Amino acid sequence: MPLSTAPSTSTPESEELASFREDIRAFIKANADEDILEAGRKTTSFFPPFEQVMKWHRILGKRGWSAIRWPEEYGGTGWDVPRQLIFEEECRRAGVPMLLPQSISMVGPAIIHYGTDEQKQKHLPEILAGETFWAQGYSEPNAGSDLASLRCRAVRQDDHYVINGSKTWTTYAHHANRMFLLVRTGATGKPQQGISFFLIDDLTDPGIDIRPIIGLDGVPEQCDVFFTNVRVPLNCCLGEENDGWSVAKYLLEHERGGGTSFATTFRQEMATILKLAARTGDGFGGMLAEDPVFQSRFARLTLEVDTLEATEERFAAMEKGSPESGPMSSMIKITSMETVQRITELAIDVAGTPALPLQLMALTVSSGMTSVTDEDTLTMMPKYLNNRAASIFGGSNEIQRNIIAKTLLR
Amino acid sequence: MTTLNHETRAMLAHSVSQFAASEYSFDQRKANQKNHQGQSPGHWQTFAEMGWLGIPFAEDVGGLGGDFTDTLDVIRGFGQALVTEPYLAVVGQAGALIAGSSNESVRQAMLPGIASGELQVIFAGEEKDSRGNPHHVALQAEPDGTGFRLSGHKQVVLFSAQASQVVVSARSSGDSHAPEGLELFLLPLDTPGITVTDFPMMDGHRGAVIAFDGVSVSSRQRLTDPGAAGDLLSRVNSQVILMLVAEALGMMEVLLKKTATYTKTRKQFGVALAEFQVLQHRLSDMYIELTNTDNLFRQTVERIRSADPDTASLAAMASRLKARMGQAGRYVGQQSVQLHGGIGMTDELDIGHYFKRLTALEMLQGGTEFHIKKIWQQLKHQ
Repeated sequence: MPLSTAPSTSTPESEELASFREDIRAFIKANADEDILEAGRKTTSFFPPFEQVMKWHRILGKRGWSAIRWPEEYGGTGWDVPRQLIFEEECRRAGVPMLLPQSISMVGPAIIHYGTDEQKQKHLPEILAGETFWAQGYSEPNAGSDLASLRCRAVRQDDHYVINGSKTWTTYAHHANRMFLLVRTGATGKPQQGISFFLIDDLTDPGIDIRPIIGLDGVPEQCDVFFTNVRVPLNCCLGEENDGWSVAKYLLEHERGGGTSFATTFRQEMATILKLAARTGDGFGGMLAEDPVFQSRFARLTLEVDTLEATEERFAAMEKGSPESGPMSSMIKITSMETVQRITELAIDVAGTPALPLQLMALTVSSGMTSVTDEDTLTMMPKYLNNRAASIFGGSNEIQRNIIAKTLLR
Repeated sequence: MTTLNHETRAMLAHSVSQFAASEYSFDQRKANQKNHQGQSPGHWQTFAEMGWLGIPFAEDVGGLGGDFTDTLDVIRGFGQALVTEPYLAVVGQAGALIAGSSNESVRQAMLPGIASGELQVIFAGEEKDSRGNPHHVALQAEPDGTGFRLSGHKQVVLFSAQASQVVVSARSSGDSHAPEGLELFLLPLDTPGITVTDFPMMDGHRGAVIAFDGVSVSSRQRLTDPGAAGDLLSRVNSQVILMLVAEALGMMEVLLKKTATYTKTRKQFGVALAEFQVLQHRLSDMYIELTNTDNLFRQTVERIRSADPDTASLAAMASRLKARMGQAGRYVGQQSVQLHGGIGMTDELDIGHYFKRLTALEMLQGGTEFHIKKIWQQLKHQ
């Protein structure tokens, strides 16, 4: 059985693109060390093991490939969409971890779009080089899906703002040295008005208390963050004061789709599942890969991934902020996250009970511990559990459906 | 057939809810995980004193004289409280296999100790390719003098750290999934040649991989007539499936109640989540999944009590229930997390722990699709 990770109907590549692919492949082979590859294998969420993924980020940064989709003048590659996809395909094929999205796909594009020259010069090169990692301070205990009801407050005092309040579900805040933050700076008008977008570049302030939250998979990935009288300079505001909602909306569109190709990653997951099914018995004397129930489910999911790729390609070529791109980005969020959830479900169903052991040590990079069952099944349950959040974070799928309906019924 | 009446069953179920209320709050459960890896000798002694460990065993061996159906409400209560003690492994699996054994001296020697809580025995049945088929056994029992030598691997054995003995299924003849040629042996876990690798599981229970490397057993350690363990293995497997379903139903009841309460108290956009129709429908669908499964379960238990079905019919009933529970458990578990949002994804809140145990129950003794295929095979042969 072929274990191709290419789209099921891909056309032959031009000589030029084929040679581009060769260059990418050679670079990865020469630069991704065993730690980085192990981190790729042991990635169980959208957020790979921090230390190793940042190491890979810095390697790519040196080569000028850490933010392939940024405009060239800001350090992007200038690659067209086919080249971007080839780059991601080769990364997935080699098994290097996907770069963390917060800096490259989220705050970076927002700074490029809204930042002053000073902000751009200060932050963008550090992001590209992987010297900084930005955590996202959006959600609050009482402002999740209803983000605009946020209450974390910044008050002007002389030449500073003073921040008080809290944030939650702040991914990897315990690893971060920067944070972008939505705060309330005005009290009048609709809840969306009076919100500002801050760039915080010192997280060592004693008024900032970062507490990791243990997730269903037993690992701290999210954090609570508490601010007590934290003073930040006035020029930390990205965009106009009280106009942070526009920045947040722009950034959310980048977060929800178009930042990266999920389809390429999902194909890799599917290939692993197929390999496992080919060596797992069905309990009736045959192999799971030969079982029509499995085959039907696998083929349907492959079709979903193919379709997602078509949508991602179209969205990548679409001008952001256009009437079509809003609902389309919500649609990508729903489709990609539901697809990954179904993939992780198929994975644990194929793995069966060997997915049940809790193996936090074996999942830790360079621990030297091996899985008590099958190496491929090691990550399947953590992925299933962790990805239940995929329909919750970044605006729950229910909220995304509301957004689409609003456009349809306008 | 059970000798217990309705009142005794109700009394047993009530004693579980009392135990849960005083000894097994979510915080107490957490402490039990930390201090005893989820299996406390103290709790086990309570289980014995309450009579729970002897429910399905005959009175002449220290039991209450009931049958496995009398444990189901007790186990439903365990599900509601997320109990991680090894009741299923010791009473439901190993205990039931010994109780169903034709080896009278083993019955007499073991069951009184199991019922009194002094003795914990586990069952090693599952193998790499068995997927929930109790007859899929590759572990070899090779004749050796008057006894046998056992060689092979058992995986994801429901484990108790206090267990001293293990019942193991083995093959003395036939294809790897033939119902004939099967044996069951009882042996101490410290028998030379046995290697146990135990581990915590994602649901707070414990599991183990057990390797048998030319382990010597005598014929006196055999539980059934030569080559004839297939029937007992299948019956006990079906019974265990009903126990898993009972536990899942208890958990789904709690999840539905807690999730409905949460949507009434959690406010977003200035109103309670429960005001949103899409979430109301989600709760309705959770109710429908849970209640349909519960109805099938209750009907099945009644039929078992009144008709005492043969092994094949019991297996068919169990497959229907396991497949239905798998579908319901996945939906109710996933939606409970979804409706709780981020907080449902944390280790802090009980919701995620119910979700994880439901996920494990779905996979134990064969997943949903394995049992769907069993249903098809039965339809084909009708």
